[in-house]
Amino acid sequence: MKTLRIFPLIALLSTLVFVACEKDDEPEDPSDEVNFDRQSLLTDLSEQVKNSYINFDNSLEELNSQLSAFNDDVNTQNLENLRTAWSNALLEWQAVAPYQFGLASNLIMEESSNTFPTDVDQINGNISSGSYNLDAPTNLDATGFQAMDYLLHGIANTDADIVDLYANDALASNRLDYLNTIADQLNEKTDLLVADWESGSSSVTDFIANDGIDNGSSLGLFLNSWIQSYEAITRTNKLGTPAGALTFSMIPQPQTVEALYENDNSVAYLVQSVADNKSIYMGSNPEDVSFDTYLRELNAMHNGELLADVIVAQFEVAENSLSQLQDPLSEFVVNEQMTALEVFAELQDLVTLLKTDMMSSFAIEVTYVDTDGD
Amino acid sequence: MSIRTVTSDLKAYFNREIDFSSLVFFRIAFGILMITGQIRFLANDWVYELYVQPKYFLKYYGFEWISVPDETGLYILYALSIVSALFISLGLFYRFSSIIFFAVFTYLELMDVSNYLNHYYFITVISFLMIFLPLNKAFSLDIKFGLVKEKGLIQRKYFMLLLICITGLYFMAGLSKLNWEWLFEANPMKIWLPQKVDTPLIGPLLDEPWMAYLLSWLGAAYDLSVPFLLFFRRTRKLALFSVFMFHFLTAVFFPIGMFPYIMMTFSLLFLENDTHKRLLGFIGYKSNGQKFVTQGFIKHVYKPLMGFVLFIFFVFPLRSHTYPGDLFWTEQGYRFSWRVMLMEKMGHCYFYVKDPNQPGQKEVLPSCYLTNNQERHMSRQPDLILQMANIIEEDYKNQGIQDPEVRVVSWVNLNGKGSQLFIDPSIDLTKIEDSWAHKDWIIPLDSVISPVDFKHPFLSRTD
Repeated sequence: MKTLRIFPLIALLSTLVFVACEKDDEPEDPSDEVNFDRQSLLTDLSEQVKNSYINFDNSLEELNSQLSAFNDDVNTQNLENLRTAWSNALLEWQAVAPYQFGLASNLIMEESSNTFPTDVDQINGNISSGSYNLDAPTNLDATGFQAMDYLLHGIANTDADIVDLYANDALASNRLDYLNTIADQLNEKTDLLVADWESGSSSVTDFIANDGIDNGSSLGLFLNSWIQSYEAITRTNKLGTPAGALTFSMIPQPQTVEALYENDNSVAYLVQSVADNKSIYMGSNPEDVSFDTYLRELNAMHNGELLADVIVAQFEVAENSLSQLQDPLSEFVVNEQMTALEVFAELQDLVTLLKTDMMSSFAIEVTYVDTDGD
Repeated sequence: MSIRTVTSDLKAYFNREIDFSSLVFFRIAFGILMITGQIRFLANDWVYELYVQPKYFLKYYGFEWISVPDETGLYILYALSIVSALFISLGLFYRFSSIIFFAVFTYLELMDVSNYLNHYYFITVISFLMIFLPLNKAFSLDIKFGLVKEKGLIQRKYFMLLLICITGLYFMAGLSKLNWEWLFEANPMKIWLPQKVDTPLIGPLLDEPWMAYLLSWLGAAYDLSVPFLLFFRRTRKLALFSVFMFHFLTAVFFPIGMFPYIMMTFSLLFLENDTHKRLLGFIGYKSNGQKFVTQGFIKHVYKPLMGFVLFIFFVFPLRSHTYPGDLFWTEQGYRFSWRVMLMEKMGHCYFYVKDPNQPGQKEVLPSCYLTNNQERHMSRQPDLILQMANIIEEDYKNQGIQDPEVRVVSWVNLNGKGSQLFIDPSIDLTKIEDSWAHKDWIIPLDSVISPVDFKHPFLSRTD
């Protein structure tokens, strides 16, 4: 009987140890201890999101001032300036695209800002009727950057003809109005998001305070939104779909590239997007608490190697493979489909490392439902 | 002390008459627990989330015919389970209520494998036994309404069926913890505990590596020993204390719902018969002291029921040993085996549909068909991946592709070791039938194929 008593005794003792132990004052060997502070990670992430929105907002301001110059004086030089501002804003957009949770999700920011391919018939129908609501679900593919792409590059073959459509055409003022309405929509939503992510705002405070790992935690929302965006937008929409990777026929779909009508910069937006995804992982400053530092503190492994090293290496592999792509992407996917597919494969491997390995290390819960603790 | 005297002592112990109070105690407690559990389920809106929202359901092998009723039907079933649990507690129309409860509860559990939990299965088994046990023959409304005759005593062996179930649950759960990963790698505790450092009081200790080992070993020792410590009077107090401590801790650390509370309550069944009698005395229970005459029915089912209990708890769980490969990886024989909290496993997969007449493969994401919760379970369990492939096959047949082939590229990370290829991506899953046989299309755990070394199927085309 005596041996049987030992276990409950251990249970009792260990309970006493739990209860009696206050946080130790003596510093312990830091190497074997996980120094976990999700709040500082969330703080640095919120800074990064805020800065990305500010940069994006600034680029939209430049877009607006070029647009009003174009409004005042429709000429090819102003068209060219406007295009440059549009392209810069689209590059800045790539950094905020992964943040589709909270307010951005309520505003359906991603869909209304950058759905491609854009619906040319819908755009032209809206312009000729002159009455439309760009916030309506049917207009998601007739607004945002890609609709602007068509309106700035695709409505005629030469710059002179494009300018003519804004200056002398029967629908000229309707067309110019449409361009302005798209810009207004982008501005309004972005202003809301900039305010939402301002340091000290109630949503940022909530974001930092909600530091658990359950389904509705900030970390869960952030990671799901980010990885989903990387997988569905960066990997699939920007490259997989144009390369024909997702079809039975395997026929390339050149008309589905991002910025189809500009037609010499699609790769640049993809490269920017991957770079921005990398900086979400690495943090914008080396001293930031990031997912990378977090994984290193957890000592997370990937088949014998440090997971963080494997992810960083795969980002580099992906970035290097992107350099094989050439603009115009719409021609490249037709002429060198296999190369495009190989790059697509490298982008996909990152999804697995982020989605399965990183998420597993953070033990983020996917649902609220009870588990066996499996 | 010969074996014969032990057996005859045991026999005498089993046959000794005890006061009905222990069974009444169980009946009332069970009813209250089930009412609480089902109301909690409704309050969390899980009926909607788990059974209304999904477009497809993942079926249990052999129970593919179970269909999910519409929303109204679902709420009626949940209401039925609550009312029948209430009637069980009150001892009203007991036999009928216990049949209804068992049937409804089991039906609800069989609707979607994604929601499998060992403790639901435990409830199913227990409620099946309850159909046969005469739990309404004391302190029940059935007596008050003259539906059954009141009895005061019953042979202990009927009550022992319940205690053996609880013993089996703990012991087998403990046995399954005796593996290298749990004992010597402290997995998955090592992964889970550091996430809980913000727990008050003990939080700061949880990222200590020794803590993961301590709790793993304590957990295994607890599961293996606690039913026996509960059984003997001399160790019972400390055992009860450790039951409440252990389950309180697991309730704090892990999202395991009702399970800790069910086990805390069930541990009270090990109290002395007299204690149950005294406890029930507070709510007006009086034993009438009359003998319970063992009538034909219960007498005849005792042996089959004992056989059933021993099989469910101690034999059926061992089937996993007949399969080759790592159990945690293949999960062949993993369910219905009292294996809880043994691993951190996560996966994700891409399905590829091929029209045999065309060169490419269409990527299909499971999220088009399943909810997050379903996808989470599907992506790491081979039989569910197979079901997913069949759902996709049907869908594409309906879309007019005559003989679609479906393959999968799936990545699974077991206990934080890193994602590796899970299912043979060259296998056309539409040609495979699920069965009890070994699934040789699972890539063995030790042939580690990392995503970074993998040649994707869309890189090759067939014309």
